[in-house]
Amino acid sequence: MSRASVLRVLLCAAGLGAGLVSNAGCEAGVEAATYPVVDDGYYPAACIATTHPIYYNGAATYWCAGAWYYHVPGGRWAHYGREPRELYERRTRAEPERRMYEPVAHPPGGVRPGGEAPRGGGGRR
Amino acid sequence: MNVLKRSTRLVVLALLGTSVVLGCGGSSASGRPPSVVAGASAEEADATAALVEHDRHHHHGGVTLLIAMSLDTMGVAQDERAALEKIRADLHARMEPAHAAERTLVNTLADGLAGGTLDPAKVDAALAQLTSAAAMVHEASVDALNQLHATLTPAQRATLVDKLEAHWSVWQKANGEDDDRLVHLTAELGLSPDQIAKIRAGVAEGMKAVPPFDPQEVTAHIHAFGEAFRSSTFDARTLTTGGAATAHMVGWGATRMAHLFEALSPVLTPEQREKLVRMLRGHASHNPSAEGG
Repeated sequence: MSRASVLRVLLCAAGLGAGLVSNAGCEAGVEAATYPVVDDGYYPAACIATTHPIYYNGAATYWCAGAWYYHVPGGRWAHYGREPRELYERRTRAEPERRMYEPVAHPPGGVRPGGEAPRGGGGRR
Repeated sequence: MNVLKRSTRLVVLALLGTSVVLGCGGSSASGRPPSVVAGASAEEADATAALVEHDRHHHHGGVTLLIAMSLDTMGVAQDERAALEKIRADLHARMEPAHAAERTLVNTLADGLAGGTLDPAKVDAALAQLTSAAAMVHEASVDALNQLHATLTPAQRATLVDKLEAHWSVWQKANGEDDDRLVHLTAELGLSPDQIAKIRAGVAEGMKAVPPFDPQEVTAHIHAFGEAFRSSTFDARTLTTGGAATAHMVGWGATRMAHLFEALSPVLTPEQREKLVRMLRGHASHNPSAEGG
């Protein structure tokens, strides 16, 4: 067998292995590679400060403004462009806990004082 | 034969590749995650507003207070919570002298508002006492911070630093934008446009004598803390900027708060004054971040 053939066989084996691992990963929750990451420059600071994270793929991940945010290399924050199944299941079992530091009054008309401006555009997936 | 083998391999790879792409992602018919989710929930918005309100009135521990608050929501397992709670309580104990000084300041402001006149000498003395106590907080907290580092896993240390940076970002917003604060007070007290204009002018006048806040000093300290805390070894004693950064942050935040109340005092109606005094005394009498989550 030529060196090139050996290489091809090895690549095939690697591909086969990757496929099996990936499919097994779907069951085990190791699935980050299949979810696009969106870095749109939004930093949900108050949400990160007040919300218990869920550790997913080794990183603290926060349910903020309808998306799962985590710290990406380079100091920026990004969110999954499509909700990972494991995180979806976690949040639909129980909404992530948030810390309330003061009682909040809701004035007539529903205007909420302070805080971050809501993100525009609604859904982002 | 070789061609057949190669073709077979390619088909297998293509199928597996497809499965890699399509196989995950909650794509089963049942329990599929929604493709579109709306923005922040009401609970999230409330938690944000509550944190901003907290940060406007509770300054005493500066960066150490932000670290202690970061421990409130670490997402750790139940069996790890007790150890973190002990360290959190310890940090709050180390901040108590500064917290007592803050109580004095807020009560001084409330007394002045209730009587219709704020005594500038009393307010300045309370501010100086608070700033001086805040300068000691970092040094008093080094053992607790070292113990915290030893207790957390590397991933948890990174989470703590992320949270500290997030708290710092919120603190700057809470203490840097008078318009947001006035929106809140307008909602709470029913301020008229004329009152708001007078308050705005009063704050601007009062802050003329105050050196502008330089967030870089605190940002640099938080950055140094973060770099050191993420490392496998850590000694809070080597962070020499903690005292000055905290004193700067606490002194400025408290001064801004004092000037706001000085500007409010002459323009309030008796009902508004009574309500504001009640709100201030409420802030002075509790320490929500110390109460645990």
